[in-house]
Order: sequence, then structure tokens, then C-alpha cells
Amino acid sequence: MRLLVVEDNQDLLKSILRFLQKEGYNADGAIDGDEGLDMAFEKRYDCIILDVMLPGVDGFEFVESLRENQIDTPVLMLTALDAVDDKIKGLASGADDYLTKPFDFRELLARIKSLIRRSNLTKGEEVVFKDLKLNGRSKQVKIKDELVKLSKREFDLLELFLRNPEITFSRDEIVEKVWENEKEIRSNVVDVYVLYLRNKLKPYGYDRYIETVPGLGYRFHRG
Amino acid sequence: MKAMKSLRKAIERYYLSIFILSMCAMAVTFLITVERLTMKQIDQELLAFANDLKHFLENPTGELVAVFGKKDYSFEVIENGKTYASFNISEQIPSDHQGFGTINYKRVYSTRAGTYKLIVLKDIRDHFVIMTILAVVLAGAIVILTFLLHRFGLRLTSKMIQPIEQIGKQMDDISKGIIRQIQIEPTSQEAYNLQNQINDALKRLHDTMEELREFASSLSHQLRNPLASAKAQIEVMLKETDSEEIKTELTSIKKNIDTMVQITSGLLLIARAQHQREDSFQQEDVSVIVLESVEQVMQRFPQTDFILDVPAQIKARCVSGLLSHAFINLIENACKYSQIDKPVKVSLSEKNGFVIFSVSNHGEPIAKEEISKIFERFYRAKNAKPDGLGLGLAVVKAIADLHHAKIEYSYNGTNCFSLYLPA
Repeated sequence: MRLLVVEDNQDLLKSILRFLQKEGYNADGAIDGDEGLDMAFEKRYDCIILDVMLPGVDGFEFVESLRENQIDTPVLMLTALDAVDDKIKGLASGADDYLTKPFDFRELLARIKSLIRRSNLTKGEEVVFKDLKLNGRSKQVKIKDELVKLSKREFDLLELFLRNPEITFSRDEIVEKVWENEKEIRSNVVDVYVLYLRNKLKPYGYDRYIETVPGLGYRFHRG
Repeated sequence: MKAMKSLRKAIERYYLSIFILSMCAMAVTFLITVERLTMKQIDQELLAFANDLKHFLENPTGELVAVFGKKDYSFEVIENGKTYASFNISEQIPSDHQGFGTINYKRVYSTRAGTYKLIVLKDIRDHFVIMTILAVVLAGAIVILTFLLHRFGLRLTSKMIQPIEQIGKQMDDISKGIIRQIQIEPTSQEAYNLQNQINDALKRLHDTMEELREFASSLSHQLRNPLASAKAQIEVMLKETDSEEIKTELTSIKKNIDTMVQITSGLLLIARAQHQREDSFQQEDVSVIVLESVEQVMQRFPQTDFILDVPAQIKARCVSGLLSHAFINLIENACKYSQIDKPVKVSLSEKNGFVIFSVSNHGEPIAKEEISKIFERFYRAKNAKPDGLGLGLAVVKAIADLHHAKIEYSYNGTNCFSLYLPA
């Protein structure tokens, strides 16, 4: 596993690199955006950890430039807390997740793992079910070419169902698969999200495919 | 506070009393003048009548005195204490009476003509009646005028006092909300000056607060990078060391750093909420924001059970990045102060143009006198947990204010905080 960390605070950069190396990752560091871009173009990384506030090329421009050059390495953005819009801008420019500074290394590690796992799992694959198309890379769901706006969790839940049709998942299994590292999610959250998802699919008549299996959980039934 | 006299009433009482006094003085002067003039007229008539009589007595061959048509008049001629002639006399006139006088509604004039004593009288009952009517009319006029003046004056004083009342009202709003300039309709130079003076003071206050806020915000911001580095370095050291003693020390340092991070987060969020522009508001799915907030709190409170009543796709215009912090803080508080083994309930609903977020727990009710204070920065309630900083609810308040949302606290067996967000 090869990671790239772009961070202009030298002390922080050093600590992150040391920590990641301890965890068994092969991590490179860059002190500004230009250096980071050069490295990202040169080598193939599994994940890029990127500070938003960088001298020279900033985080947003960095991601845009990556995506323009067809490099779809997952990017985890490090943002300042008070810059609420940064998050939205970061995700819009093509970043995959964000983390506010200062953060726990435990959290950083969990996010990196989840990003890598997901990018391996869904490498641009598209799932098609009748008129419904789910794109794992662009995180878009279309029904009859009409975009269905889903939140991150709703998307992940739908993706789980579509990729594993006819399999009954218990609520705990869904928590494990969709929330991955957030172990403490109570199963009633699953019920609420299933409700949300059904609600969004209802106008197209697709809500009936998500079935409640009494006493067990939920399944996606193609019938 | 002791009840103060109303300025408006004082002014009103003042000019009304001056008005009544001067009106009464004028009326009395008028009545006296009229009385004097009519008396003078009557006296001249009496004198003329007496002269006619005198002339007749001195020249008995002359023309007769015309008493016909003068039913108001009466006379008596006395010679050596005996009545020589009289007409229409009913009163007893004292024998020593001389000159003009008034007896029993009659004007009397006594004079001497040779050996005779001559007394003439005129009935002035009518005159008294007229004067009384005049007095009553005048008094009535004063009462009516006073009433009119009172009505008219009320408007005048309230117009004069209006700037002061406007200033008071606007200052009231300012002390409840944000500092802004006051704007009144000045009715006088003094009011205009007062407005300018107050605005100058408000501007200074606003600038000072702004500076302070910016200072806190930039200080927090500047602190975060070194804090992030220090935290990262400690985490690496924690991983690398084998000594339990050092680990304990490092963990305690990390905890302190986390506290500092929390303080800077709180202050930054408050500053952010106070400076957020309206154009960053977007139509958002509040249901999703609530659920994501709940998820975050669940991580931190693995023991707490949650009851969720969050229907899908309730939407409102908001800044989702900030609103989620308000939700998280409220839910976190509910967990912190909940009885063990009792669930925390989070609900979202839509009613009368409001999106209502509520979180309730089974805990100790908040004392009445503390409710208004718990939203202040760094205020620690009596039963506050030792690990709190007193910033959580201040952040909630700042974010609620940004969204023009109302926060309500109620206790009905359970503690319930509700946020009313205009949809």
C-alpha cells in the first residue's frame, strides 16, 4: 500500500508519515501542492491525504488537476473546522472524504482503510437493475437517466442491496457493511435509512424491491 | 426597581394645571369687569331717576315723574322721619343709609333734597341671574377646553416623547439581539443629538466586540495547527513507547490537548455562526443532517439507547455544516445528563412553517433561574459534568440565532430541548 501525504506543516507531516509507516504503509510526503502533484503524476498511489490550505496549488485545485488527468486515486481532505463550505467545495471538486483538523490517528486510519477498500471494490463498476443505474465511482444513481439525489449513507445502503440481491441482511450486518468502522451505530438507524431510501425510490416504483424480512432484517428482492 | 414617574404624565399634569389656573384667572377678571360695568350703568340710571324726583320735589309745578314702564324701580320720600310719598316699596331701608348700596337684590341710592330724604331702588335680580349664568357658562367652557387640551395635548406630548420611547424600544431589541445603529424620527434637536450620541456609543461597542471576536477567532485558528501537530506527535510517541509510566503521562497530555481543541472548536463555530452570510444558506434535507448527527454521537456514547422519530425528507434552508454541530451538541448533552439505562429520544417534525428538532432524556430538570444562563459562554450549571467546558450550548445558541431559530426548554417528566427552525 502506497500513500501520499500533502501537508505544509512539517511537524504534522513528519508525525503522520511516521505513524503510517508504523502501521505498515509505504508513505511519501510532500510539503506543498506543486511537489505533491508531481509525485501523484509520477507514481500510482492507493490513497492521497491532502491538506486544503496549501501554499501554491491549494487542495481544491490539486484534486481538480488530478481528476482532469484521469487519476482517480481516492482523496481524503484535511480541512479547517470553521471552514464549513470547504467540505462541500472539497467534495464537489472530487475529493472522496474529509476530516477536520486536529484529528485522531485512529480516525485517520479508519477513513484511509475505508477509502481504499471502497475504491478497490467499486473500481468504476456500474450496477444496473432494470432502469436503475448505480455508478460506484461517481456516486450517482440514475433511474431512466433521471438523477436520484441520495445522501452518502442512502447510496451505500442501496449499493449493498444491489450488489447482493436476494441475500437477507440482519440490521447488525447492514451496520457492519455500510457504517464499516463506526461500530456503535444502533440498528434502529438502519430502519430509518431504509425508510429514507424507500421514500426516495418510491416515485419510480422501486421501493417495493427492498423487502422487510420479519424477525431477520432486509433484502433486495428482484422479483 | 422602584416605579418611576411617567415623564409623559408629569408634563401633561404640568401644562394642564397652568392652563386651568390661567383660564380661571381670566374668567374671574372677566366676571368682575362685567359686574363693575353693569353696576355702573345701573347706578347711573338710579342717579338719573333720583334727579328727576329731586327736580319734581323742588319744583312741584313741573312735569310729573314718569314711573310708568319702570316696574323695576321704586322710591320713597321721607320728611322728618315720616313717609311723604312712596312707590312700590317693600323693603325696610335703614334710616341712616346714605349713597349707593345693595339690599336684598336691590340697588339702593339715598340722597337729600332740601328737607326731604330721597330713597330710590332698582330691582337687580335679573342682573344676578345673568351673572350666574355667565359664570356657569364660563366654568363649562373651561372644563370643555381643558378636556380638549388634554386630548390634544396627549397627542402632542406623545409626539414629543416618541423619540425617547423609540430609542428605548430599539435599545431593548439591541440588548436582546445584535448590536446595530438606532433609527428614530427626531422631533427636536435634542432627540436628534441623543440619537447621534447613542449611535456613536453603539458603534464603539460594536467595533470593540468585533475586534474581540476576530481576536478569539484568529487565536483559535492559529492555535489549531500547533495543536494538531502536538496531538499527532504524542500519538506517534504513544505508539512507540513501551513504558507504561510514559504512556500514562502522554495520555493525560493528549487529554489536555483535546480540551484545548474543544475550546477552539467552540469559539470558532460561534465566530463562524456570527459571520455566516445569508447567501450560504441552502435548501437541505434536515432529516439526513439529524441522522448523521445522531450517528456521530452514537460513536461517543456506546451505552446509550436512542429512540428515533425522524421522518424522511423534511427540508429547510440552512447551513448544514453548522446546523449539524447544533444538533450534535444538543444530543450529546442529552446523553451526558441522562440516567443510565434510559433512552434518549431524538425527533424531527414539521408544524406551522417550522421544522422542529427535539431531543429529550430522563434526567434532572434544569432550575428555572438557570435556563436563561445555560446558553451563555463558559457558564457551568450547578449539576454540570466536570468534563464540560460550558461552550456547547453557547454554540447551539449562536447557530440557532444564525438560522433565526428559537430554542425552547421544557420539562415534562423528561428534559426536552427543541429547536424551531423556520422552514
